[in-house]
Amino acid sequence: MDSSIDWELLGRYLAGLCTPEEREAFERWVAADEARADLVAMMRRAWEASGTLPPQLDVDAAWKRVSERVGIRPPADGHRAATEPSQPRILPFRESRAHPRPQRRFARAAAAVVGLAVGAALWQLAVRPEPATDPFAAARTYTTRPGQRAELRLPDGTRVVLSVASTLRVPDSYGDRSRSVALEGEAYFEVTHDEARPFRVHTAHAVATDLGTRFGVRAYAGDAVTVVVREGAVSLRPAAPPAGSPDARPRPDAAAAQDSVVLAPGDLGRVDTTGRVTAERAVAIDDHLAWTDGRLVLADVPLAQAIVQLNRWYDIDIRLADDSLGSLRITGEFAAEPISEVLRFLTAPLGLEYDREGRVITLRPN
Amino acid sequence: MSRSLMDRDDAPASPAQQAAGLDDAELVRRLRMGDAAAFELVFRTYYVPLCTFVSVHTGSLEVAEELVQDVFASLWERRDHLELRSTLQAYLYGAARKRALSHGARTRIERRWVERVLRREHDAPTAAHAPAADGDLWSKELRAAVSAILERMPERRRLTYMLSRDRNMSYAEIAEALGVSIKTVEVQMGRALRDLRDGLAAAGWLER
Repeated sequence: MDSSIDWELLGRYLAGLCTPEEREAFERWVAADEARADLVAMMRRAWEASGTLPPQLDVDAAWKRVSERVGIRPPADGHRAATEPSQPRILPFRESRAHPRPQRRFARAAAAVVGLAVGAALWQLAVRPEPATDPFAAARTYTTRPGQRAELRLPDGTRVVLSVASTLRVPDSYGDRSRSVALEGEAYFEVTHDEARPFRVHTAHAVATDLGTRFGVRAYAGDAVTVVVREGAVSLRPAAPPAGSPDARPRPDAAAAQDSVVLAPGDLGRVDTTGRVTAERAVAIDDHLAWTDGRLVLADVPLAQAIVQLNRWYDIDIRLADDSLGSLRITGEFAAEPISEVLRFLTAPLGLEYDREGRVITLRPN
Repeated sequence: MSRSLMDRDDAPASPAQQAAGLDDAELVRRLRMGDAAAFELVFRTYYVPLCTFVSVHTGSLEVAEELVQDVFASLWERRDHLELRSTLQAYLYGAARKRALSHGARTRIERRWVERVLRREHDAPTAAHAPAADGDLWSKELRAAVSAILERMPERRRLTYMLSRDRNMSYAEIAEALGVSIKTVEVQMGRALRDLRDGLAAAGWLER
């Protein structure tokens, strides 16, 4: 069988999305070889045979319900259909301040926390007081547990989506002269740009400064810090002491001030734990930021790294019976599938099996 | 192969839209003005296909109907702020998908999808839907073979394929509706077709 076929082109051909030139070229290519012609004819038959029948639904009744609900026409019998809030739900948001503190800016901030469902996990955000030892002392802390994500808005309108097992600190002085936040874990920012008050994300060993933009920062403890840019630009540099982040500790090797890098849309910048800065161009930004809409995308990553991410995502504890398994590579996308399915997905293609005891799951060679 | 080729925003208007002589821009303009007739047209055009789409996520047509009704109620309530990135179709599918995901009812749907397709095949005369060779055994067997291959595809791959196949959506629209990149749509379409080819070959429909 001819294996040189361009499947993506065939897809657009069958879907009628080719330009006339592409179609002509493709048809010439097909006509040149009988086996190709057979294959394409069969694929077209399969394409045509794969249509699904629309379900039988009572559209009139549905229209009546919706039009009554939104008040386009009065209910026929005075019995109003149940209305449901159509705005995003504001989910419980637990706050536990150990001691009272002037509310100042945050009285109006009162960050709305909008839940993004991850599986059946319940939302819980803890706000904890911090000891007054650093610039972030008088700060609000937003923490998500594994399996939880949260969305919040800062007083200047900047939108933050906080990923699983992450902590964001927002100083009470946020917005006074600058806008700095500290992050451990992963977050996505849509920054309201303000030349006069740069927006900075401090992490353990890097600082990302917004130059007008939407970007994601990943800075889990002990890991390289990565920044991906969806829109605008971000400047990334290693954290030089004294950095604002309470997590930043002076690092002799980082003090050797590596250059910073300016990242454009599609770029991924990385600062490793020694402060070395690198950048990759044209990465799959959507995959890196898929978590913001509830998907975890793993694209050809080592199993060792995949389980770290899955553990945070599902709040489970996958372990490897044998460290050498960690170098197996895996590709997949996860949302809120049951754990059993995730495990089947992880084990079957890699020829592994697993034991499960509560949250702890051990993968071993089959 | 230029990206712009796929990035069409001139997707064909639905039959109902064409009948009414309305394109997306005009529909959106009327919606913004609070034109209930335009809203009803959009509703009647997209209600059934959206329910079909959402039921793939939820596994239940009843739940899908509720969620899709929410989508339309919300569309009307927020008509003042309605902004399309590409087409109305892509917008509606994207909104429906978000509902389905936040409903938390997202499950693996292979079984359900195929159960439904097969059940329908059983109940309904296929002639209404099958192409040229409708009704005959050959066509029926091929449909069953294709259903089985679709059943085995990962969800996103199948959804990509079905949106292209059933809804004639452009890759840009599918990308928006599924919340993925156009590149992902291209890749998933390519893989879906390769799966089909392999499956058909394995089932003896094609020479290996």
